[in-house]
Formats: sequence, C-alpha cells, structure tokens
Amino acid sequence: MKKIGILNLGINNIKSITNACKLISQTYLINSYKDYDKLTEILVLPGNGNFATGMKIIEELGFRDLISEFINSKKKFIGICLGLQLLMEKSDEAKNVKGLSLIKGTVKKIDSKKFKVPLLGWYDVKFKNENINSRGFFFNNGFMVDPVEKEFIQGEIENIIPAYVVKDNICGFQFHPEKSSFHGLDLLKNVIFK
Amino acid sequence: MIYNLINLNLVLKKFQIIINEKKNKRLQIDLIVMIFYNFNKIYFIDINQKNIDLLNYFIVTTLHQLKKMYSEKIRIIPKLEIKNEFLIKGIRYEGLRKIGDPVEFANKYFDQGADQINIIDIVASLYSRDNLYQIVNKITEKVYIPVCVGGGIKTVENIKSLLKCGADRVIVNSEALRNSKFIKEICQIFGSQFLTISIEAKKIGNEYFCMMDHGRENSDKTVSNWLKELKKYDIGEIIINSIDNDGIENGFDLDLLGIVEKENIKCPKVISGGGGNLDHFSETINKFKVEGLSLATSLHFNKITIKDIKKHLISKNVNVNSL
Repeated sequence: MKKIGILNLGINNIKSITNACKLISQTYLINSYKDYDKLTEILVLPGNGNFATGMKIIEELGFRDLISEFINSKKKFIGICLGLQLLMEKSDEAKNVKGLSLIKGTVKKIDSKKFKVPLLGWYDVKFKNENINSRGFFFNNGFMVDPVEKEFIQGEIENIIPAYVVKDNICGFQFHPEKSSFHGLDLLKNVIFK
Repeated sequence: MIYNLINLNLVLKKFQIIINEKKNKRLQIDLIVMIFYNFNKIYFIDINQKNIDLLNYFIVTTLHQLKKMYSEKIRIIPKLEIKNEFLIKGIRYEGLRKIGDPVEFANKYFDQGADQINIIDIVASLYSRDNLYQIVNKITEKVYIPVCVGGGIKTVENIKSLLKCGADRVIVNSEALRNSKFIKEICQIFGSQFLTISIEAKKIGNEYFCMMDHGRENSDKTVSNWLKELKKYDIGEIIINSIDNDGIENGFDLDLLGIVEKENIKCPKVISGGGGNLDHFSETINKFKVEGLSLATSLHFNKITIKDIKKHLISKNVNVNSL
C-alpha cells in the first residue's frame, strides 16, 4: 500500500480522481496545508480550468511550498490536466501569472488549424515507452504544455500535443486517466506503482 | 465528375479503391486533380489525366491533413432517461415504461465500452431534484468515463450541486431557450466546454421546432433559427434529439441532420433518437459529420450492445475508441 494524497483546489470535480485512487491504494484529500500527512508517498494535483485561478488557489492554500518540498524529497508527484500545466513557468492563458516553475517551459494555446479547440473528447496517444499501449484517452483542455527539454515528452497526440510528461519523479497527464475507462485506470495504477 | 464527400471513412474507401486499382493495373485511373479541403467538406474533381505520381502526392498529403483534423474519435453515448428513481423509456417521449435501476444500467454500459454517459431527468423541473443527485452520485462512484447530466437545470446552484455529485458536464435545453443569458452565465463561471446544449426537435408541418420540458411545450423556435442564435456563444457541444424518431429504432433522422449541417456549427455534435440496427450508425457517420452517436432503446432492451456498434464501426474504418 502506498499512501496517496490528493490536493483539492476546490474549483472542480475531484470525485472521479479520488475514487480512482481509492481503487488503487489508500487515499486522502488535502484541503489545506495542515491536512498534509508526512507519510504521503504519492501526491496528486488534479484540476481543470483557468491557469490564473489555479495558481491563485495554490498560493492561498499554501500548496506552493508543499509541492516543492514534496518533489525535492524525490517522492512521486502526479499532475493531471491543469495540474500538469501549473508545473510550468508561465502560460499564454494568463501572461502575468507565474507558474510553479518545476518544469522549464510554457503553456501554449492549441493550434486551432490542426485541432478542434478546446480539445474535448477521445484522442489517440502514442507513448515512447513501448510497454504502454497507444490508445484513446479523454481530453478536455484548450491549452498544452511546451517543455523546453523535449525528452520529457513521453506521450503525444500526432506528434503535436504533449499528453504524457515525465521529469524524474514528476509525472504529468494532459488527459484524464480517471475518465478514460479501464485502460486509463490501468495506466494510473502503473504510474503510481512504478 | 464531382464527389461531395463529407466523411473521412468514405474518402479512405475511395482512396483504397484507387490504390487497389493501381496495384492491379486493371484500370487506367483518371486523376483526381484538385482537392478543395475545408473543415467540413471535401470535394474531388476527376479530370482525364493519367499521372500516378501526382495522384500519390495528393493521397499522401490529404491523408496526412485529414488524419490531423479528424483525430477526435466518434463517441458512442448511452442516454439514460430518469423519472424519480427509475430508468424509463418511451416512444416519441410518451408512454414511458419503467426499465430498471439507472445505476445498474450505467455500470453495464461502462463495462461494454461506452465513451460517455448522458443522464436526463425528465421530471426534475417538476419535482424535487434529490433523486437525480443521488443517482448521479452513485453512478460516478463506479463509472470512469465522462458523465453528463441534464433535466430541469435552471440555476448556477443546480449546476454546483451536480458538480458535487461528480457530474463532468451539464446538459441544458428549456432554460437556454427561455433565457439565453443563462448560456453566457454558465460559460463564464464554468467554461464553455462545460456546457452541452440539447435540442429536442419535432417536425410540425414542414418545419423542425425546438421543444421544451421533455417535449411537452413548443418554444416556437425552428431548429435552424436556434442554431443560428447559438453560434453567437461558445458552446462545448450540441446534442440533436429527434422526438419523432425517439424509441422507434428506424434510424437517425437524417433530414434533421441535413438542416443542422447547413448551419455549419463548429462545436461537436451528437445525434440522438432512432438508432436501432448497426447500419444506422455507419450510414449516419458516412453521410454527416457528427462527433457522437447517442442511443437508448436498443441498448436498454439488449437488442445490441456498445461492443457490437464499435466492432461494426471499426470494420467500416470509423475512428472509434477500441475495446
């Protein structure tokens, strides 16, 4: 058993990710800094929505230091959708807002000439790791991450939209594994126990 | 000769024929010279030239372009209509029959490989909403795909309660027709991708009208006029329900889809009402550009399964989520 903590920004539906993690291992919700348990082995930052709102709540709830300390301790951190984007330095969605800056790079608007924006639906993700099957996952976002170091991108839609990002002990999903049927749950489980 | 092809599947088939013919050298091929390509329509103009390299070039570049534009998968969406605590189903929104426990059915469809589940409470606007909240709460505990909920949503508070129950998006019909400010309000607070507008179309005379309150009242707005109005807003998705075809399993209402297609709506479209046998699904996909196919009766009565539909569509080269 690994203890999973889920950071609750309180702005959107976190029921699915909470239930999904509960299926996988012991899980609890972190509503503010004082809820954090030092025995936590996996920290998850889910989220959907606006970059500026997300950062504002992270600062208010005292999650910035919590996230940095956790990542420095080499334990596994998982960002989902907005939770991945917030790890970057800045975003086109809110140009004056500083991100968590844990991964070098920015968040960009998805090219509407190539995709229907916002992405809302199931898209095929191709993974670099041959052990993960390329399949359809559920996306719901208008922006995408653009890390400076391209080797962090471990899964993509059509070689254009980074979908799965890995940097040391940080994992980020642009899609929602908790909304992507059984194979989404399997992937989440593999990442948690890897 | 001019082909007006709307669907990737048909295009691929056409290419396949051309490629096979080329391989077998059975036929001299008349070259496709120009491909006017925009988001919705693909035109082919054949003229009599015989240049295989150029043909190859067009096939490769167009396929490449198409693949990028069409990488979104076609969704199969079971629609659960709920009255009090029961899953119900009627014919043309009337003669409602109790089918069973909606939670059980949602779990079954999730197991079968549904891409999304739509829940509509048909009496939530008349009675208490507590039944709906309980049902959504139970469904989202075990179903790990997007769950969209509608029925009598009139206020931001209604939506917040549904969010707490684990709903991913909301479906709004009547209140949007009565008060278009509500559309703006939802988009501002929750984001445009959060809102699905449902259109419940009924043919009266030669016109399709948008009905309200589960088909009980006519808004006096035609479907095309309403779609023109909706273009002003940034909406996540539009579901087109045909009341006339609801529950009779004789195929989707293609005339209605023709009207919708003319309006050139940018957001994803889901068609609902009439899907009975497997060919209805592939036919509709071949003729029209829709992102989702929704059905109820034939699933509830175990006449077909989502697996059957997906297998069928995969065999027709439609881009669906594999099983």
